Amino acid sequence: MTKPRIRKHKSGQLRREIPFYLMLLPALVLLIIYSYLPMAGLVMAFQNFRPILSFANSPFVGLENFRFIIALPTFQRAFRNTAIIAFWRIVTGLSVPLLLAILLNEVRRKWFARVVQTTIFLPFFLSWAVLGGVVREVFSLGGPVNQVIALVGGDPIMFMGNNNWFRAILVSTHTWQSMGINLIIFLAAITNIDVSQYEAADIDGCNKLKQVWHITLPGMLPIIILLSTLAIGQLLNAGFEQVMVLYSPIVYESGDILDTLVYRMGIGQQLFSPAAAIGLFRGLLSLVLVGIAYWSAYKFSDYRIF
Amino acid sequence: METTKTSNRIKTSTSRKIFTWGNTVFLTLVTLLCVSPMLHLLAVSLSTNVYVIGGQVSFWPRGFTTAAYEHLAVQPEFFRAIWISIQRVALGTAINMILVVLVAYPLSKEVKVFRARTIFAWIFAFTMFFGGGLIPLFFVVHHTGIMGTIWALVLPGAINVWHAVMLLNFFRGVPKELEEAAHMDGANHMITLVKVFLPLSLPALATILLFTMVGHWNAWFDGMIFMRSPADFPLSTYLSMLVMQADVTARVMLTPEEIMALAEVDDRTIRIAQIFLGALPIMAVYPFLQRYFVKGIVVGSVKG
Amino acid sequence: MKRILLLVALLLVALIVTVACNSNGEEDAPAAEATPTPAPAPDEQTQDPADEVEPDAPSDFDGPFYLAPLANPITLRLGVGIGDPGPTVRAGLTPDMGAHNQFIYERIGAELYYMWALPADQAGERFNLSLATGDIPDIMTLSQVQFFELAEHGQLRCLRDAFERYARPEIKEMFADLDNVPLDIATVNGELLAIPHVLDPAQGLGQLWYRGDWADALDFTTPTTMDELETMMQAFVDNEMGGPGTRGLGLYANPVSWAPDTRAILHGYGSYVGGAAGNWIHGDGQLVNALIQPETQNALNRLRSWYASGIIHPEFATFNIDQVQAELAAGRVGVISGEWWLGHWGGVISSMEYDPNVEWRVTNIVPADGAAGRTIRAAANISNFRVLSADAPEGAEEALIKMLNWFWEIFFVAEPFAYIEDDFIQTGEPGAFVWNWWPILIWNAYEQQTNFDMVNAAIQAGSTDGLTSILQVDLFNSYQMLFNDATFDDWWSTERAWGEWFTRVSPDGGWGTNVEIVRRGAFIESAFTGPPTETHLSRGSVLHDMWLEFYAGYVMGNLPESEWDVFVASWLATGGADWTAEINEQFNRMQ
Repeated sequence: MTKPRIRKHKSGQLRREIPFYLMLLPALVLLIIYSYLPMAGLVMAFQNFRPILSFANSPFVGLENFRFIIALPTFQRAFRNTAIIAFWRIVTGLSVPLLLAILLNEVRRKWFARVVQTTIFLPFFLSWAVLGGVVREVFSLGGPVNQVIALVGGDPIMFMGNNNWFRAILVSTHTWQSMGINLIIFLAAITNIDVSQYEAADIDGCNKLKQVWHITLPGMLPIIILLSTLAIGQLLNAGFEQVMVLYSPIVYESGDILDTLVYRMGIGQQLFSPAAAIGLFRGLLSLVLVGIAYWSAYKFSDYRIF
Repeated sequence: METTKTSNRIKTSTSRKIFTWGNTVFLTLVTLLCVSPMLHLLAVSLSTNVYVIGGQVSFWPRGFTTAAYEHLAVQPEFFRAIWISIQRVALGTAINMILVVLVAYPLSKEVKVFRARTIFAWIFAFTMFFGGGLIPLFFVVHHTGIMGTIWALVLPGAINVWHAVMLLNFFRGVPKELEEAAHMDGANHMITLVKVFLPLSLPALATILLFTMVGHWNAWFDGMIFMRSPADFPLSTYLSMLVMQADVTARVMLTPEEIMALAEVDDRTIRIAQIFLGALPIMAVYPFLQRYFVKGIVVGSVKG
Repeated sequence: MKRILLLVALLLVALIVTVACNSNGEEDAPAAEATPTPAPAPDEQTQDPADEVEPDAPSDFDGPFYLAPLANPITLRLGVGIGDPGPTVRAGLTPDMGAHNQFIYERIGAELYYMWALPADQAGERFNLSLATGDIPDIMTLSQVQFFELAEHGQLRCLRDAFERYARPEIKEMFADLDNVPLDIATVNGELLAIPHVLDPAQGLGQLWYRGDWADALDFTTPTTMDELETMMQAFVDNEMGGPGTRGLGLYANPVSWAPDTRAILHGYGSYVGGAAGNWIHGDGQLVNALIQPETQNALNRLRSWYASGIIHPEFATFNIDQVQAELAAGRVGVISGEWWLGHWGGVISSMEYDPNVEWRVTNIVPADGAAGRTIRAAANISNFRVLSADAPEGAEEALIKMLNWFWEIFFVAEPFAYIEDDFIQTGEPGAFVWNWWPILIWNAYEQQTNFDMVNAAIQAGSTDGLTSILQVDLFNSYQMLFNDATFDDWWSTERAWGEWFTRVSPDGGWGTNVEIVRRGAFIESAFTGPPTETHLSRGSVLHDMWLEFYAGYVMGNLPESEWDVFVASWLATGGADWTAEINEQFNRMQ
């Protein structure tokens, strides 16, 4: 939308932009102090950092920390597990709340919709340290899930000690715990869709499924793209706390992730530098992936995600 | 939810009925699944400890007793922690909300209106991917002189870029005509923001408000790192101190007295009662904000 | 518009509270932030009337020299990890508020400033952060790794002179009883840089605990061989002594650790697998890691057969400690293995609360091959190092030693009640004094042995005369309560009293069994006590992971028996061989 009246010469535009700069200023100051200044600490990924020597005196070791991590016999496995678990966390973490939001939108009794919406958020208030015991119990051999399996005549499954199942347990329980967050965002997006579109569709005799496909989903597309893009930044985050309370050596094969690997190595001696190296690597990868998503969205649909 | 007008127009077909019924059953199941851990914790907090240790309590108290709550009623540190949390949520939420709005508004403008927006957007986004880690942050907090104060819990996380990105996308959905009309009337950016953008983005604001409050209420790690003593801990830090099992395997060499103290039967009912109570205050906020998530507000207020 | 108003109102409320916090925060700020000024002169201290009490000058002091206050009062900065204060502590109290601070100020002349007082795990984290910012406490408690690192960088003060001059005779005697080995370990380049905190080596001896009531019901006597043990456990399972799901042996994912583990079985086979640090024993002319010896495979094969026959819970390898505790508490476990204090552990006590007929007994290691079962004992048992920063104020050495002396005075010397009753509890509020909040303490390594001897003597004599601590009297009273129907107001439950008495005092109990093991010499000694080697630091956790993973898979039968050789080979190749070489080199250098 061109606005001819603000198309003057450059100094005039700068003057008009001053309010924007002023608005950004307080946030920028805090950002520089508490986000950018500490980034200088990334230098320890290239040092053999010892707290006693601090940043100034810890010796530089080049890429030694990266080499050290990659040379670990269990690194590849942990890396693969991290990527697989994180990938499925993103997929189910977006699709399940989306489905629930659409279903919830079809509920006509308002009180019921509210109750559902509120309770779905509840598990998010409990930390994994608390939920871990509950999840272990539910999926144990004598637990409710195996009782249901026995009811339909199946063999009991040792979910918590079975490498074929363990990742599925991690992903599904994580989705269950945190779906309230994305559900709310999706519901907020649905409220932005113009009701008159549905009214028109009703008059045209479109059924509900078609309305969802042709009105609801396209209307939510920007927020779906946005959340997916931001989620890509989490592609190497497989949920340290959750894995920590649920895994055991028997499922290292499928459940040991980068963070738990580094954590165990840190017991007894603090491995600051290798941990920083992993953080740096994760950040770089996220930046590249999100950058690609950003530019492709801009290129193909002229839409800036942020 | 359909508005009544719309739903009246739908011919209630059999398939629609089946869907509505199935949908209700499905959502009820999801609800039960999500409410069950809370019910479990409630049952545990009202049971006798020995049954809890033995894993004998599911959704109904065993050996019913309110002893845990009676014990808590005289524990000053629990209420002290709640009060610190309330302060933190109030202060932190106010700062976060103001900043998120101030960041989202300029960045929601198009490049031709605000030429540097993309650069700034990336400056903000960059911090989502890289952090210096704990030690440098501790350095900065130490040297900015806010160590041990409530500001150490509020300032380092005052900018939530994720929320800002969400909000700026909602701001973009505000009809351009309204903004231009405001400018025509001589309103400056601040007035346009407050009078046009904020009212039209209430669902988004309510969502972000909720996330921010929940975020501050749930945050525990910064309390451990920046506070001097448990007397200064906010509630979730205090609670995580209770639930985190001391890593006893790493500390094998203890005096006999330390061993005997660690070996003792732990009062799990009391711990769980605190966790249950700790989740209540923030849950009470939810229904209040919920009305803003409900369909129709935006469109309604634009038309009205 | 209504909604806007509502939101604005909400923000306003938030802001109002903000202002309230704001002023709060600023009030708090100086107290919380203030970098303490080192050693204010005594005449400058006029904040609090209580603080104004001038420490007696040494010349007026008529007690023993080792308890005399400092000539010049000082301020010491410290950061502490909060130990479990026990149930008697006053609600809401933290170490920086405890009554011991006042006591130390008045009696020693050292004012304590707490840089932090955090839960033990976080205190370690905070210490590292504090190291990195270069702002470390004056008094510190360090692990072995930390101690050698700080010593190497010249960050620690020599304590030799102060120790020689001020340490009380009993402390010197204790170290002399240990051949001064701990002091030698803490001596770097001729300087004594720490007072090591030493424990009784007998603490870690392995024992076997079993359900006596079940054994009686099925006519089993105390098992003396591995086969007898197996028959008994199998009978527990087959007869479902604890209802459906009864298991013979209670285990969880970690084979050698806190609470129920496998050590009694391993030791019965002569396998001395250690924790993450490993156990080093003598073998064909050099030190070898006990883990990879053939004895370990024999023991694992036995466990494997027990898993197959249902003696071990099918899910044991996924269990955390809460889950094995739950099995125990619900009365579904017949045998556990561990240390002397297991009878006081939550799972055991809960099982007795759950069912009053439950009776636990303890016995020695049962051998697998007819020889005497032998457990393992650490050669030296140093838990950590008490040190002083190089930047600590003058006189801090003396203050540190005096704090150790006073702790000893209060807890291990005859007539301790004078201090406990007159000073702390009466002057402070009730529950304001917590023993393990004393900022720097030294344990009497033989305290538990002393308690065992003295309380048994008192029970024989039928009187508390000669007992020297509240704990000893409590243990005596436990016996009276359990066997002579004595009653006490507001006191331990029967189960708790049993746990305390049986583990610490009973000749048939936990410590009693340790005494018997030591008397018969039914133990071997671990051969290496030096600091961790380079490979241990870089590869130790990888090797330990390998072992844990192998252990679970092997016992559950997921891996064929031939995998043992593969495991040993890859353990050696992954760093085990280098580690062994380093240990031997260090061992030979120390000889």
